[in-house]
Amino acid sequence: MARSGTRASNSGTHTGKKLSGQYVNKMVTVILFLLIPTVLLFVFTYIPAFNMFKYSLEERDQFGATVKFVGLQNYKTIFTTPEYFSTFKNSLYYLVGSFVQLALALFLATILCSKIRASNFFKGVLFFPYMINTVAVAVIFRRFFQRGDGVTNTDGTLNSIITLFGGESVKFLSTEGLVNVCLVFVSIWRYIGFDLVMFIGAIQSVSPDIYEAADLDGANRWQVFKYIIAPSIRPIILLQMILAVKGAISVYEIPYIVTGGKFGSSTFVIQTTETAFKFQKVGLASAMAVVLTIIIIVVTVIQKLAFKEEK
Amino acid sequence: MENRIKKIAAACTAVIMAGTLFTACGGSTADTGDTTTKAADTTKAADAGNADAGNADAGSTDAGSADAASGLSGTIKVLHHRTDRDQDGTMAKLTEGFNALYPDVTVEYQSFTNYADDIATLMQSDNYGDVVMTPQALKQADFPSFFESFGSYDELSQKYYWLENYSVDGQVYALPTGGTASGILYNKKVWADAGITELPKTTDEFLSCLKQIGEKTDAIPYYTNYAASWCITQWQSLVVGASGDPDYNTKLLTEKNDLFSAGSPYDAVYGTLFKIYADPSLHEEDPSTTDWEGCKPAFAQGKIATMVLGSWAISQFQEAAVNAGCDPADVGYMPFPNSIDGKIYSVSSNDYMMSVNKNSANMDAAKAYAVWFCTDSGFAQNEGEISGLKGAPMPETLSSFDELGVQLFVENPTPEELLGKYDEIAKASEVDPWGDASTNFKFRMAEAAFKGEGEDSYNAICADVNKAWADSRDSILG
Amino acid sequence: MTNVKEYPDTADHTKIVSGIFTFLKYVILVVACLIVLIPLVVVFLGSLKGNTEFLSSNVFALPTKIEWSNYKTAFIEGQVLEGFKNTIIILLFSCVGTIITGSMTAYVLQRFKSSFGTVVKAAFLLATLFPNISMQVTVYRIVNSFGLVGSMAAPIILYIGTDIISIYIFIQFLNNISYSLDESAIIDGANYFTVFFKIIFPLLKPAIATVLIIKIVSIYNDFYTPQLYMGKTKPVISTALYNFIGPFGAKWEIIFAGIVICIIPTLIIFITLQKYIYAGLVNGSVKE
Repeated sequence: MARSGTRASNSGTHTGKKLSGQYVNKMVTVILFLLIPTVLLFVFTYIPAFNMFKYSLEERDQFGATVKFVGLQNYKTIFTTPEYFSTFKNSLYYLVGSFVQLALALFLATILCSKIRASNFFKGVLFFPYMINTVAVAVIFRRFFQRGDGVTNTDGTLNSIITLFGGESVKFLSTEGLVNVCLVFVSIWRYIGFDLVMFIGAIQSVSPDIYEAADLDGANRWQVFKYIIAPSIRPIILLQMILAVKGAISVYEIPYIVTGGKFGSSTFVIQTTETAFKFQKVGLASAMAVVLTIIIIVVTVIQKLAFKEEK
Repeated sequence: MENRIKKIAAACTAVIMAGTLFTACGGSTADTGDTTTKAADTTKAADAGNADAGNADAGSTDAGSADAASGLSGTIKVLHHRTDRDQDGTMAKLTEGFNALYPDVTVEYQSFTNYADDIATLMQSDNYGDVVMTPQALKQADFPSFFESFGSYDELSQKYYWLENYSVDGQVYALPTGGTASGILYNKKVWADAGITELPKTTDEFLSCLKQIGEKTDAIPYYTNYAASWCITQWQSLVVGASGDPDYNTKLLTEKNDLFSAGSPYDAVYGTLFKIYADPSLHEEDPSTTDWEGCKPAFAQGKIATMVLGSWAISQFQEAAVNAGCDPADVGYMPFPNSIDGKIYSVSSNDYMMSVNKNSANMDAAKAYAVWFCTDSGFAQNEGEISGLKGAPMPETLSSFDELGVQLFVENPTPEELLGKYDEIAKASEVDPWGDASTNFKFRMAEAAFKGEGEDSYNAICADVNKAWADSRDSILG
Repeated sequence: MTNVKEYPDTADHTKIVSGIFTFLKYVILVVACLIVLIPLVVVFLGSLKGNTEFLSSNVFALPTKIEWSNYKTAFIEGQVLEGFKNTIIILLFSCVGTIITGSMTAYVLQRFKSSFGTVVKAAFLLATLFPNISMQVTVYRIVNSFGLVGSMAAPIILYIGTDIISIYIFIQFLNNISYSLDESAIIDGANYFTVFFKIIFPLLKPAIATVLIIKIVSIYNDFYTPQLYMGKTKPVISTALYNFIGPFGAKWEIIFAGIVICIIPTLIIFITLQKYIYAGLVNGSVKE
């Protein structure tokens, strides 16, 4: 208050000059500060995105030597050939997996937020896989699910455990359906720690006073969860669910390295890259990428709307 | 939160062009499978390079190296797929041989585990080295946009095999580094132990031989190598051989035959594949975890009896046998036993070809190197490959073919008007006979077989392939 | 954890019930941790075994004789040292670059409300939606047209130029820094540069820590960008790991040694900076 008063009285004749000086200063700052990031943004995101769209209207191969404009033909091909969409059904595995992951993470987070010794140790262990290199993760699990082929390889970790308990080795990676479950397991193994940390953060952000008050009111565990914990983690859950959808439709790397998309473990993105590089249909693949982008944008818009509702 | 998507996305992107890790062992080369992944090969090529350089093919006159011994200088970069030969020093040895002729040219090598993918990426710009292994994925018609001509087809085809598919408008854009025959690798000792005295003459005999091996020995009769995607493409190399017809692929286009019909070469080859893969007693227990490197010593030790592989593999398996303390003489090679009028055929086809970047700053040196590599370096010989030079002797690795009376032939050139059409149909239809995309019919057949689905399933896949092929063929050829 | 109160039920006999509950909690946690740890322990054990022992022994069996040579092979053949060096250089430049450009952008976008700013902000937001998986060919062409392929500048510029998340983190943080700080400085005659570098930037330290952590983790683990733009010529840790997996196809023990070498720095960083990492991730994502 006092300051603004001073400012008013100080202005007088200098105001115009000072303001314009400030204005110039402001503009220079804006330009200088934004120049590099904006240029980078356009050069490395928008121009490629535009090109991708342009390619999607063309027939071209990987080398780009012969290019033919074909209009919406590529999109027509995608929407009239059911095979291109069939891999989305594998996304369902990952979607279900993400929900399992969320539930598990929430469960573990509530346990870790109760009175537990060495809770930091547990949290650390559960989180650590999130920090590991994807290539390493893929290799580790290739070995983990391996079944000895009787010649070059011995049973991997999981089959060793099974046989230890007298079970019979399972062909985890060459049984349709099961292979997707295994890959989803890898995904949960890797990402559950992230959800866990989010949930713990949210639960702990609730002031201890509230718990105390609840205590005084004689609330039981379930009531505490329902009326205090749940509301505080609601936005996080919502967010994670949206992310789960996005993640599930763009799964790529782990299945690609672990199985190469064999035994029915292919995904839409694997199919996109194969279309581009194995069939030399870069135009068609770009159209598939554009479709994927649109789906992701739609999901994001839904997310934004949901959050507005929430607020 | 967004960062997690980003992270996932970034992580996801990881393998796109990097291609494959285990799944392919860099196996994107269509023709001969890929030989890039040899681990600790002790090379028998110690005497490669300089020793052989001058005398490899004394009979041939070499236009490239004869005239220009003086004056060439500069640095050239050679991009190739033989990471193993980079590592074991073979390439460096080769350079010595080259420098004996061209002392002022500096040669640098860069090898890629996933060559086919990496070279395609590099070729987005002008900067893809000076000499490259010609990418298989490039359309024939596009060669002039990327590579320098070596000379006229009429002249060079007198001297080299396999130029047809690498020539445009009478100009040659790639020379063969070597070639390979199609057939089946088998362990002689295991086959003998099973009581097989005579090699099979028909596919049925072949199957009963495998059954016999399964019953009488501890070896795995057939090793699918299924985890390495490229391995299954080796079956495709049997098809033309199984037809016994040097014009088979051309006739597919002109006579418009279905790929699969009872007794067609495709049916002979893939029907056999289906029967082997469908019988759990004939192959390894879990095909998803096979190991290409590991199968070499296992084969040498008699744990594996049979594999379909191009003849390029022979020398690798012999080396592995030596390393494992086994007898390399047990590595046997036979043609795919599909008799046609009592005769068995095998087709020889090119391995990677070599081209020169048309943007090369040291064009003459680059050309000289490529010509020298494909003519005088002795590389193909040391690898046990078939020389790309006409009239050169057959490699020792294929001596068994002589004994067996196998008719080894080279495909006839595709007529001018059909050039590139086969590839175009292959990609457009996504039948892609040489391909290893996860949706490829070979994988569909294999997985149907593994699951124990019967002949009906095989026939359904054949029908799909026929239809896709015919549709694309008719729309492309009109 | 300590600030959350337990709720002892009133009746005495429930103490037993609660004891069982507590016991169950530990069981669950231990099982969960085992699931996480077993695949990793197997890797570590395997990396210490010789080839024959690896193939003949149970995966959980301790090595009879420790084979350090696996590590030597992985370290030398895997170009690990070179990989570490390049990784550190790239990390250094990318992090410094991201922090400077990210905080400056955030400052302008958050402080100066103008229609132009809104447009730029929307442009950044929209950019987060493009899946970079699908744009790799087109991005490559552009990087290549600058002649950057094959140099460390390519990944560095991409890490800086396509990082939008850090801008958001800085913006969120700036929301909590009072405008009056800027205003009084301006009135005292300072220009915006001085305000930013002398006053705002030092206050951004916690946000910088968050950005650093997210950045380091993602760059260290990124495989695609360095593989695509530098290939084998300039390996970083992840590409070094990838590159020797091919030639060592059959030798799990050596591959495992490579994985352990690759994980160790992550583990050290994680253990020492645990608290900041959690905080960084939570701050970086709670609001997006």
